[in-house]
Amino acid sequence: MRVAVGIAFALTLAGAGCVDIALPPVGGGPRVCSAEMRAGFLHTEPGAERPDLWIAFVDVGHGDATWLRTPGTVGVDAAEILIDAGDDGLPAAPHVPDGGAAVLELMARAGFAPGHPLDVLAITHPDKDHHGGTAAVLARHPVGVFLDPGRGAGGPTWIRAQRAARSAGAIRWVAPTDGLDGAGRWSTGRWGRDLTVRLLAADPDARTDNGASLVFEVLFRGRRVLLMGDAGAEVEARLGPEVGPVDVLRTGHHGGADTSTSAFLDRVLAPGASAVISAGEWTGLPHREVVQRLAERVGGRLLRTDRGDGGASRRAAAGDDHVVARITGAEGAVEVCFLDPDTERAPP
Amino acid sequence: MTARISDEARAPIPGRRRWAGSLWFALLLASAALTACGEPCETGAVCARTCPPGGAPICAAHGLCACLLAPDAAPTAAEGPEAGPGSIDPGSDAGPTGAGGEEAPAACATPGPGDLLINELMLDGEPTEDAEFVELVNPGPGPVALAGVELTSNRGADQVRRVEFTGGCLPADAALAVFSERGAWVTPGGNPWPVTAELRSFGFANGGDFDFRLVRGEAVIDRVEGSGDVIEPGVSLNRQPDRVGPAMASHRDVDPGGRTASPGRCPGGGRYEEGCPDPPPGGGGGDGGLDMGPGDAGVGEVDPAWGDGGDGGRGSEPDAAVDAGPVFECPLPAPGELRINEVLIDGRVPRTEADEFVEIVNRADGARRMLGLTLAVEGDDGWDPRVVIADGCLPGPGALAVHPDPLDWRFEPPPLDPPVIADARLALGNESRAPIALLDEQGDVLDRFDPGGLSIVEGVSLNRSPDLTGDDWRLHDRLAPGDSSPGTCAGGEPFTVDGCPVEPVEDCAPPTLASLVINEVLVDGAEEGDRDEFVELVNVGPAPLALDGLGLWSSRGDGTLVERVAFERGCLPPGAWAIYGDRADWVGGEAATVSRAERLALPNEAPVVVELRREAEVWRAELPAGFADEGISAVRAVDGDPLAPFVPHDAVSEWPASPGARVDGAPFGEPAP
Repeated sequence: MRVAVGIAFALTLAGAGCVDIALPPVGGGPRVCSAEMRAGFLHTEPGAERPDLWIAFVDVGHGDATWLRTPGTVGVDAAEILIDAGDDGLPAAPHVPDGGAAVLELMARAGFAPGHPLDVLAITHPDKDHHGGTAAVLARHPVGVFLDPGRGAGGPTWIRAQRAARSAGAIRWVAPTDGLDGAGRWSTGRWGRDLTVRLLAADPDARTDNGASLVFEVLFRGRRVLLMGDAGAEVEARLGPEVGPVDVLRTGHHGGADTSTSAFLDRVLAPGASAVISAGEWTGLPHREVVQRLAERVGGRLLRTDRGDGGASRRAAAGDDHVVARITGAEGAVEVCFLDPDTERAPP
Repeated sequence: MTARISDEARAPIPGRRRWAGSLWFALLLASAALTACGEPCETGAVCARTCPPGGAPICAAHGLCACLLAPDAAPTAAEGPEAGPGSIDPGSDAGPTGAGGEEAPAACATPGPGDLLINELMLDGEPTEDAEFVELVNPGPGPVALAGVELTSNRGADQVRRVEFTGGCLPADAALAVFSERGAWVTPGGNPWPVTAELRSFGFANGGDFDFRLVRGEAVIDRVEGSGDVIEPGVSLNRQPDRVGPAMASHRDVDPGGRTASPGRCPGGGRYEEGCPDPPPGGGGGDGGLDMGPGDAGVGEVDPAWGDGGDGGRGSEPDAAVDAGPVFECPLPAPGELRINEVLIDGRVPRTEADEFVEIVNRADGARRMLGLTLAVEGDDGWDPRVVIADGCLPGPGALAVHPDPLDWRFEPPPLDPPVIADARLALGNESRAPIALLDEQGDVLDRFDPGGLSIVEGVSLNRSPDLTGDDWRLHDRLAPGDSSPGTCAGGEPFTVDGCPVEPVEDCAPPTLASLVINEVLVDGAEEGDRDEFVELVNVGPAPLALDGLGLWSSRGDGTLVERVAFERGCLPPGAWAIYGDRADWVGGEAATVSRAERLALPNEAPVVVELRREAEVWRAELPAGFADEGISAVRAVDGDPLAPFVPHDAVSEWPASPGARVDGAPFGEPAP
């Protein structure tokens, strides 16, 4: 049924040409996680075996923070990795969501109580919508390694984020720019059992902050997840042919116009792949053509963290559109869905 | 030299500058020894660890289990209970535990009004509330009992209990800084009477009028109030003048140096117990040497933490002044202060490389800066950098175990200023035996480790012998139980300025041609097959002989030599072992570890050569073909004499062979009859 709906959706989009798809359908539908999957994500006991890889694309309002809960024994060799932390909600304004709070709220829902350590907190690049929530996260969770592209930045929030990490005793690891194999190679041990995380891109000297973005590839049970940060077409073009085909693509830069080029998507998307757009209340993002390109290729397996945001009711931008991915079973079955139904909330 | 982590030195990479640390964490480290908790535990919670007397296991950051100890030496009987000075009860709400819960001695006076002061308040901690604290000072000439004392402050119009002290004393002229994290509580000069308490709500309003009280029963011991207008983020309020004035003022105004806070210390950074001297420049304080000053940059100057501070950033977030945080003393290391003390070259399957590490020890009494510190492996073109630390401070005395994956790096104790890693590609070749060097920022060698000629055993590290101070390297299990001890002395103790405890070392000397003898060989066994063939090794000396790296080789029919037994570890005590092709048949040697034990397969129709090889030493026994009849061994004409020729065993004894014993059956290891 799910496949049929997805195909129908894809065919509709493909045949419609200029159909307005900037706002995806509102509501639950087949892309909402099953009760079993929700329970699996939300109820992991300390010390328990975690056989699956879980990835939460946390709806932080402007986009996402990506929380990887890797396989292994919880507290032993399973790892907790947070990539980006959302904004800090300051200055208090409707367009500045408190993404850090959204991250913490979801962590708390999932039983990841304050005090539980994050093995890695990676900030893809020094833009406030990605690092603003760092201090809030660090105030609740000790962090082992603080990984960032090493790009100089002058914003006080970025400075505070770094200071908070340092004050909390986190080792700062400046992402290797030329040692992509190095980061991946050494990541295989502690970053989760039977799991490889490869750092595919990091460029502190990039022309733009987005161009500096860390790009990760996660490999587990033959499946690949590509996390593009805010990287755009320039980085996409640089990624070598060894990248992909990927089963889950978290697209770059909130679906900006210079991301997810047709050439890139055609090259990296595996048959049956899912795509997640880290989207929010950015004017013009995700770009209509990007959404269309993705929809043409993955159909109903396109999920956005701004599901319905900005609609007539203007539901809360942060915290209501978490997307969860799971890779499970010996064959590495991939499931991607919204954690919660798209319930209406009262307008603010 | 006082190295403020500021713009004193060049930044090898973008993203390095002055350190600004949370006070609670800094103070926690004053005397903590850490190990990993088995499971994630909440910071400040009691965790499972065996601590030395006076230590209390408390979970610190990263799920590390800290043994909180006092910075000073063990107390004398006159000073206080045996628990050890300054130790802080782990804070179980169940009340006093162990030594930390000793009753306050009668010498501690019950405080009345004015006997304890609320002297400093951090009400708006930066970067988090964890930095908030209340400093209590005992201004009197004698210790004051804390049991029954409560710290309260206002929440709106109500007084809320923040801390209920249940035991311990505050020494004369001493201060206690109380943080929300129990492990961060500190009395810099130490405290022979461990303080126990129950923490209640410990989060203060950042604005509005404040009203803090110390009470005991109905008695108010001290009280300070003021307007919230004076509260600044990251800046404490202090009595003006210190300990005397009735009003609270900005710490910057109290301290001529403009420091932002001084928990547990005088405003200038000195200790109350010492009369508030200014901290000595450059010298690392044994308790962490906090210097709360604004540093070279001055108050209000941009403090980019790790950052370079201002290349524009996003248009929506312009550069702005960020207050300087605390700095501390962390000079560059002097020659000899940093050492490579332990190396695991060959990690054990399945983690293999992930377990490998190089342990760097800071022997100094104070943190040392890791600016440009590099671990390099010798290559064809010189030193090949594998790990480059751009900045940070290595606690002193303390250690860092550098693993390939930074997630596995381990500091003991945790660093006040964690490192900035510019490169992390540690890969130690098992085969190349390339030397490893520790280089400073200029590329000069601070220390080096050369594994050439050393035995390398999978999963077992090589450690300096004696630990930390020696120039010899030994397998770790020769120094202390266990295969390795990354971050600690071989016995698991934290490094101290005095080095490491002298462990009872298994005195297991390298064998020499005179002390180890191939004494007997049975080439042609009586049984079918070669099962009862053996080679007898005798230690004729008075001390055990090291077997690591020793190989037993024997010739095949074509004369080529094959390694049959490879010893990894173990000592051969004075006496003899008979080595058979089947390990289960050995006479002696049960405790030895071997990586290979094959059948001996000595040729019956050709000359026989048996060799022992260890590094450059070779012990050799040669027997012509058919030297002795079937079932008759060849044995030294004089038992245990390496220079004596071989003779058939039945020529010197009524027995055909005597594996593991003298020819007459008497044991080796005792005076010959």
